[in-house]
Amino acid sequence: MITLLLFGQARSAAGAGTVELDAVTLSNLLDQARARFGPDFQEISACSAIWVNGEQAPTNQEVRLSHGDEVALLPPIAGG
Amino acid sequence: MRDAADSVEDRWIGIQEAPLAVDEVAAWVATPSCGAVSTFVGIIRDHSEGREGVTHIDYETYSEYAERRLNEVADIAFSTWPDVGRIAIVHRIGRVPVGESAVVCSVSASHRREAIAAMTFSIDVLKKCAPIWKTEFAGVARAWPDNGSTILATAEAASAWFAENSGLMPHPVTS
Repeated sequence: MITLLLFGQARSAAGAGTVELDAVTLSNLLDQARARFGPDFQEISACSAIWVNGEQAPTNQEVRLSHGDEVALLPPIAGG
Repeated sequence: MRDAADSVEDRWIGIQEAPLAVDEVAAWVATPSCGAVSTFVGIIRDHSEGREGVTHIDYETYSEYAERRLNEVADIAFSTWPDVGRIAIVHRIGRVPVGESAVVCSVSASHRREAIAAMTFSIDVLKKCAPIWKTEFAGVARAWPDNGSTILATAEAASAWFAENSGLMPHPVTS
């Protein structure tokens, strides 16, 4: 299982901050989440950064996931 | 507030739900070798762009990485301004009502120029690299700020700041 963490507006759109999903690639994981959580989530996910285990995921190649990986969806930040 | 003795000697980095003791942080930053302390306090205001009647803001973080990012900001500030004595960056999370402090960033240095520059750097870069989000509330109505930033790596956010603020660098950048 992969843990998907959602923050800010993404968490609100999905109605959950943590989701467990079964996926072997990052794009498949995100497709599942978008299909499950609907248009508001799709919109915010399009302008969010994606981290895998704390590192920014490359956008130009497929990212393979392993059991226990933590993927995080980070909408635009607003600290301070 | 945690006790200053718990802090690494030259820095006080924190993410906490308790109200920020701003005076305590600014006092901790001061040392005998430093002639200047520069402190920024971010306070919840009653309005934001296009919205009136803000009552409170809820802050959330990616807790595993938020404090790490604040430490990285302090690392870069220390290495950029060698005259800096201490750095404190403490951010509040959870519900923060109007009028209360959300963040305090305080820096001491031998002289004011370095203290002000390193403090400005720290708060500016924090806003570009720390995984922190806010939800604004006006009573029960909630909204997200429209002016959020796409999160950058700390080094990337610092480089962008240096490019835009060469006048605040210890040795002005010439290209």
